[in-house]
Amino acid sequence: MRKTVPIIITFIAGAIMILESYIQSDFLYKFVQSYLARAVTVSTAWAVGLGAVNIIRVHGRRIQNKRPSYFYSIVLLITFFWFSILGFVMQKHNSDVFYLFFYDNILLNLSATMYSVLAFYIGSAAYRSFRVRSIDATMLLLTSIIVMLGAVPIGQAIWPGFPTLSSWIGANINTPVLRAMTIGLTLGGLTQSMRNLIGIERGHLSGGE
Amino acid sequence: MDALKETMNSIFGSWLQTDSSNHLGLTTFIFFLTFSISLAVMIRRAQGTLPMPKLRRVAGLDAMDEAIGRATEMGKPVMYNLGMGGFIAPTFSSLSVLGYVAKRIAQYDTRMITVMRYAIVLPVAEEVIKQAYIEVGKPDAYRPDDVQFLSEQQFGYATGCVGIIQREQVAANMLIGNFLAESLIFAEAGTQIGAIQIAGTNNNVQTPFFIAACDYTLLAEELYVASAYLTQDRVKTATLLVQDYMKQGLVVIIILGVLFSTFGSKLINQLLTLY
Repeated sequence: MRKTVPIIITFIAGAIMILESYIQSDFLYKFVQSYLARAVTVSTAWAVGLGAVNIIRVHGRRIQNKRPSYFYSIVLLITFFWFSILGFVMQKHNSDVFYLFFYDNILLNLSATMYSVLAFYIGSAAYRSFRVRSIDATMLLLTSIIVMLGAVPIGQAIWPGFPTLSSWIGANINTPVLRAMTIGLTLGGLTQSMRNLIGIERGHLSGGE
Repeated sequence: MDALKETMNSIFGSWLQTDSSNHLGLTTFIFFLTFSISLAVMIRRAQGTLPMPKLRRVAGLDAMDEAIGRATEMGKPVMYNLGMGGFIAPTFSSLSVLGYVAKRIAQYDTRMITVMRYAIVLPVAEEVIKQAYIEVGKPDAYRPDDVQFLSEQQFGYATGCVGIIQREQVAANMLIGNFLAESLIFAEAGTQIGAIQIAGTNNNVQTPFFIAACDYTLLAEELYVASAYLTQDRVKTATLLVQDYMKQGLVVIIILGVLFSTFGSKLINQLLTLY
């Protein structure tokens, strides 16, 4: 029962979604938009509540037990409650000046900082990948040098053919490989979805196989 | 060809939906029908006595046990990252792998920290892990605090993951699911502390980052093979067989398209865009 009911619900909802994609029907369209889409919104809202409980529980216990670095948990919980209060109090929080002050000056900056770290990580990952240890790595190194020189003005100054060669590599080597992978991934995703839909895949239903 | 197009319009025009932005039309409808019918036939035959081919080795999946073993020996936790997706195909595949990993973790009495971006995945992940502990007869060993929802903000989530990797000094870092721009942040954080890393994503753009930074990477559809591979289930293997047949069919159509285009004919292209 614990697994059968979710499988039946999944199948019915999935079948309706598929039919709605292929069949011209106002009834199916309205059903998906007004019922299934709302069902997703409501369950997502419940899940956010569960997520909030999880955050409070995990970090509350960390503070309670004074585990290492519990100071960060205090910061997290203060920020969590502060933004929650702002969200509840400010009716138009997306455009409220007070809310935006904290959002723009804290969250955006922290996100941008973390995103910027990527530049350094790409450097260190590239350093390891480009070490000439095998024929594959050598080819990767040479290709990347050509592509990089093709993308910067100094490359064109060294040899005007670099941008053309770089574009050729992108269009004739990179794109076909990516498309082949995309075909595999799409078919794989479709197979996985069909397994879920007809109840063969039960890994998400309490791990039962 | 125009006459054929008109005929198709008169047959399908009144009921078959077309949406060029999503590539929906007669071609995808026929493809979907062929796929579904083939799937039904193969599943039926797999439930009987149809001999199933042996799945080729997938190094990334074989390395799961190695990674868990290493973490056990070192007495450090395993980190399992379900990725940035909600309930989409890669997340379902990841949840299947999670069930397998959780069972091994429970058997070896190792610690596993599981993280996900979307709160909607949290209760499902909790259930999968809890069930794994019950199945190996150690329900009391399950630690609810080790299944963590971090943040739905992309880089807030990335920061949380890096924090856990650094603080807990994880021995193994498993990144299976949908990953976006932050993929390299996770992988490099794991590399810096010397963790064994296994990754798999449906995002082609992020795959090179995983290849560069991780020990094992599941390439393309290997991500979706995980469930069948780890359970060696006949019916699931049959679905992979259908997937391969469809792929072979697509390759034939591509080759025909290339040949026809090379000789100046647009027949294949026109057939694929009839309605």
